[in-house]
Amino acid sequence: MDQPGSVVTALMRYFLFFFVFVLIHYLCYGQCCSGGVPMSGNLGMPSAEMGTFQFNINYDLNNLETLKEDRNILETANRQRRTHSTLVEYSYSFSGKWSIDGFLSYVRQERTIRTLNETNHTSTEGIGDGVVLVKYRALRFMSVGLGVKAPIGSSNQTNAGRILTADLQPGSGAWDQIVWLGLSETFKFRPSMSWYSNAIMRLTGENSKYLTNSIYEFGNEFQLIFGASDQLLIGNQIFSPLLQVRLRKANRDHFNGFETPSSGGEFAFINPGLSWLITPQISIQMNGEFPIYTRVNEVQLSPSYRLNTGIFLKFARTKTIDTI
Amino acid sequence: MRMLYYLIIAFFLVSCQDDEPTFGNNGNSGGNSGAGQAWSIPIGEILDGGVGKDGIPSIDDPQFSTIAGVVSDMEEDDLVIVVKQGADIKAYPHNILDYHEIVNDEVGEINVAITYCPLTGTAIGWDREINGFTATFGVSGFLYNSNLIPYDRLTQSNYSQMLNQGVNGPKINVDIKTHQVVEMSWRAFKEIFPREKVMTRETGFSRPYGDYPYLSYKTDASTLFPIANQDDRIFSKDRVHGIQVGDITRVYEFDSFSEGEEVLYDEVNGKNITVFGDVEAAYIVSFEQMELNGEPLTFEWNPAGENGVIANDQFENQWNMFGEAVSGRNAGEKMIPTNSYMGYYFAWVAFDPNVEIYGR
Repeated sequence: MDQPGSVVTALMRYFLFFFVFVLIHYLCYGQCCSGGVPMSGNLGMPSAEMGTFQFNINYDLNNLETLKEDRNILETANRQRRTHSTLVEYSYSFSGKWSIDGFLSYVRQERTIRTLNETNHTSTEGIGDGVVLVKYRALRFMSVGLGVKAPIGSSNQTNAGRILTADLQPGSGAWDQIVWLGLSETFKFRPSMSWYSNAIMRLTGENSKYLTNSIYEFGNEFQLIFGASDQLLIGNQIFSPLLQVRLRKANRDHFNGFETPSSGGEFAFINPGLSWLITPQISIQMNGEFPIYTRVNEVQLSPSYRLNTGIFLKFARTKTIDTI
Repeated sequence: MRMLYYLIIAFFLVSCQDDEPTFGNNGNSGGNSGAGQAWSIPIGEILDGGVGKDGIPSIDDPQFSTIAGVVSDMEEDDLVIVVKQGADIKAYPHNILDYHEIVNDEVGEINVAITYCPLTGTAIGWDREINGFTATFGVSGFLYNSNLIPYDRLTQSNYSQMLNQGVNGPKINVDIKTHQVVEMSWRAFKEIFPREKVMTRETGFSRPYGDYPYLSYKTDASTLFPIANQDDRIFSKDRVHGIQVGDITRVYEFDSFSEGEEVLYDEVNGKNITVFGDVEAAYIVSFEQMELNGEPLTFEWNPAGENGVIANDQFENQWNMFGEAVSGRNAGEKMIPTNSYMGYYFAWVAFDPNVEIYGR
């Protein structure tokens, strides 16, 4: 084997090893994996030809351990909140214009407090909420979507008989409305390279059975994602690096109609990632997300990092021209 | 393709792992979740507040300064919790305790824990000596009727702050001995005790002391957690002084006091009580009525300014807000504080729907 081929093979082995390692580590030991009931940030599969099924199976860890007040760091090591989720995202294209997206999730919530003398750990896990999004490709480079988040997840899990608060539940107990806009276009100077942007607005509903007989509503959320990706041929394999920025604004939660302290804020993240396009139908990806700006209301644990890895599968009922 | 095959096999092997459901306090090395243990309060009404055990850290090595050494952004109307044991007087600002809720300290010769629940607005001094050991209290992260549940780090027992009693663990049903605290405005403290000690912000933690962390909670009608009972006889967040005698609780509003009406005499469940209130200084204190020379004491409001003197009795003794006769022929006498403390009105009702309101 020639030298470049060896490099590519080694690269693929490392990629494969890392993917499987991360998967096993997160899935089996529950020590990391997925991100803060990552609803709307994961929405929006690529547009595809009529009759195409797409699946994306993801593991996502959202790690929060930076205690902040406004933009100031107070502590970095004493408290930790982790949400790790297994997400099955799906998409089916009815025509070149219409498609339906959605996902189901399995969520594990963890809370760890470290003191000088001990470490206290609390966790819940269960099926999370589900999302259905109907998309319409209005222009060649623009799609719009409307959807709902259905409260199929558990929102009344307990710790030693005591119902836990909303942020430790796998589900929200509320129907949310989702408005989605997606833009994407290839660059003329380099057709293998493209940019994309998603805007997602989540209008939250009320959980009227919170702590048995109270009403809890997570704050409305707005996200903007800007990114660019390219396709690189290394040896005989195609890799797709991407870099995206995610902006997120979450309003305050409400309890029985009153604003909840220490909820909501503004965030900006940078997200580098890499996909390996194994075949035109199968790719695997991994990416990390790191905060570049955080402003929280009052005192809150804020995101420290997020890791995501997954496998993407595409099946066409009719033969299509793949563009990767 | 061989690698792809391995990848897919690995993926499905992993996906088929039967994750053991792990609800609850997994790996909790500290105990105290109360799982499988008896509670003396309804377990269905105990809630996890969300921050977890010690998620709100207690202050175990408090530092003190004179008033001059305290940061100057204390508002005049901010409240401080004042404790006196012998000649030792210490003040604990609410705006520090909002972030810690418990201070394990010594005042005079006494080991005291200042317990403060920002959700119920209750500050109570707990004796740390419990059946032969000196307790260090922490914040369990649990709430009962939206009220703090401290735990002690040695036995991992949980206690209800407002019940002053162990509610779970080895110290279940054990009563906590309390010490009188007086909550007053920062302005009043500076005027009355200009040379006494104030806890500083050198707590060992980085917190935005001075920024109230609960939005408009002090002044709106919200509760952050469900409570057992509510009524609207008084606005829910009015600070009232509650006195418990047996199974009767009676609360006293600041509206019951005015210039010329600073001393009230009342009878609660057969016990005669004297209540002193200063609207300007934002405190109410109460004592069991005392007899001297065969007569029940009556008082004339006469705040002398320094040293906490608030009244003269008919024998020309001067009394301070801690119930001590500080001058006069009966100097050294001490009235017995009632079983009482300040708190938001809703909190008293949450624990006792039949709470009585003085004057109504």
